[in-house]
Amino acid sequence: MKGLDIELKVVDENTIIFAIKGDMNIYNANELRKEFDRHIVTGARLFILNIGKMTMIDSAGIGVLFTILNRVKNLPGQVKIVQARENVKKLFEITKVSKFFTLIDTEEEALGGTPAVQAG
Amino acid sequence: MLKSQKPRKTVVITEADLPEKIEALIQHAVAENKLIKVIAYTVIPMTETGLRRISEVVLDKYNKLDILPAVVMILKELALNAAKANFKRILFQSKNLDLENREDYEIGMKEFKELLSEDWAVEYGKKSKKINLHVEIKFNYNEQRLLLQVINNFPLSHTEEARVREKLKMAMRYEDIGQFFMECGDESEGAGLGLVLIMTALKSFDIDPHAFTIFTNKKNQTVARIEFPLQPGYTIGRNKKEAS
Repeated sequence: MKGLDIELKVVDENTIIFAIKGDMNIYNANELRKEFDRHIVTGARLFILNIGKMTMIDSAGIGVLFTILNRVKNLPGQVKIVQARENVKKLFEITKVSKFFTLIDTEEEALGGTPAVQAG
Repeated sequence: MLKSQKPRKTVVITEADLPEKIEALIQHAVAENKLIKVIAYTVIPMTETGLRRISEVVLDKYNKLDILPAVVMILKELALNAAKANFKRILFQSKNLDLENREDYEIGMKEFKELLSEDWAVEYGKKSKKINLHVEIKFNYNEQRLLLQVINNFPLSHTEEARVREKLKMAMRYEDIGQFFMECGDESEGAGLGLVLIMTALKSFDIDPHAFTIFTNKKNQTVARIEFPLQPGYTIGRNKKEAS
């Protein structure tokens, strides 16, 4: 069945990248919430959501993004979204979601030049 | 799901996966200006793809593809809400829970949220079909406007109606989704986020939020109705006899 693929990359103790693949929707958005919950306690402060392979997102998915944003802000930390596809960018624009997130073109830019290492 | 765990295949369904017969039906119906009705028992990626394709062909006909992302997002939210309403009925009935009773509602909704998955939606879609609980999605269009109606073939209960009205009132009040989250925080799930997004999308295109209504009609159906102007100066016809 169609799930949400979440690939985790630990860049360093401060930075975690979640690469999300598929349609993030009411049926699977909580998978990201659960993964995030597992890693927010590790001390990381910069969370990068690479959504380059995310095909679509609905209100439940957007809800999870805001939950993550609110919790990271309270750390305090930062959430950056990278590689949003045009259709997702458009959706973020018309729903004003883009007002609240830093949208960046590449992981390298989000990391400030540090290459990412995939977790084992 | 992490990569190191058991892999699950992600399947992306595109227009190319729509059966040729459906694509031909859509093209023919839109070319002939026919009212299009879709009957769905669940909302899964293939349903969304079909709805998106109909919206695209209709809007392309009137050179209004700029509003496609809003139309698709809104349609998906409404269709999913309608299917969820059907599933809730089935679940509550199977557990002998009363939708009108507050305690029962909380028990039922807790289970509903735990069970919700795509597999479960397919299973409950089959159950819905068995007892003829369906979602009807109507595309009624001309060069002036696109009128969408998402219809459940049962009326809202008093409690449900009050809940929807409250959420709609709240959604109208919020300037944007940030304000909504300031108030609802992590409790946003089920608090009407979809409605807030719908209102925000309408405002983004300068469409009067009153273009969107939810009501029970004379046929005892629950109707979510939304109108998209396709021409400048078109007045939203809330009171026209277009409602089903």
